[in-house]
Amino acid sequence: MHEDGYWLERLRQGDKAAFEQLYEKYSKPLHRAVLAITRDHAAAEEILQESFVRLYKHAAKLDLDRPILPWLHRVAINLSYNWLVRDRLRFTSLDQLVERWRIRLTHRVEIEKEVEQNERVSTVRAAIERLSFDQRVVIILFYLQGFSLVEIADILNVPLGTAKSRLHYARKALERTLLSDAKFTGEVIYEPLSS
Amino acid sequence: MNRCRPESTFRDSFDQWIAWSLRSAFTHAEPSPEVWDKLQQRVQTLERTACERRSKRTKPLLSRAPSIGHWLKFVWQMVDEHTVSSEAIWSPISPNARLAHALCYRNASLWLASWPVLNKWMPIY
Repeated sequence: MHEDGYWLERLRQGDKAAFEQLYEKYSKPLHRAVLAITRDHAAAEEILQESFVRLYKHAAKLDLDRPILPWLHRVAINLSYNWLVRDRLRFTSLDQLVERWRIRLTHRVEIEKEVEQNERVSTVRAAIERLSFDQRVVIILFYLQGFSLVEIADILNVPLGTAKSRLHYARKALERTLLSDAKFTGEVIYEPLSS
Repeated sequence: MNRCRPESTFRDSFDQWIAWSLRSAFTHAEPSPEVWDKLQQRVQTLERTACERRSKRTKPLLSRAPSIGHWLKFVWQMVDEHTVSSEAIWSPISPNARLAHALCYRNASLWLASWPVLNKWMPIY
């Protein structure tokens, strides 16, 4: 049985502490990935919440021998996709708007830090943002979350070859965008290696 | 400071650039504590709903009698007592005409039920 299986088993028996344990363990990496995909703090928190609600609902169906982080990523990516194509444009109630502004103000310090960050880092992130949803997800799972291509294929429920080609084309697209930028020429590209 | 490693290829450094950029931007991002509070509330709601559903499922049949009675009454009103009365069954008119006649009076069936001459044709035209 996988380590997560132990907590899942306890969650199935109605142990709230097990649910809290899983939340403590996986909320941060999952939130990080969703935030990188959506670039919206409020949406990231909503999606994180919904992903864990689904974990609670489907705990009985999950395989105890497998880690749950890839499953959580799959759920969160599907929810992010829904948010990007549908919910983002949906009319929001006043309460939701107030909530969104509250979260934005909470994260204002982070946003200010982001602005102060290295301009080239911002350019990389802007280039990633311009990628298609599928390519962006692969880039985030591979570079930010550190999943292997086999794990990415499992998360996205696609063949390994598809995951490989998505990563390849995403890299190519990033290269094209970044190399056309004056900041990414010559020695500049090597600078972060020393840090 | 070694700014450029001779053995590193463009691909390696490019990959590291992307990883470094993403991690520097998102590694410290954390969900607010309110998410956990809301999550707990939602889980409680889920549990309550599941509990209610379970209690409904295990409810004895007899306690559902009013709803069964309600449906029987509804079906009886739909069929109309005149359609199944012995006069109607043995009458020389065709079943279609009988049904049409019954449908004609269906809306008045409640009123007719309390009529003293129950189970009789009420030829009100």
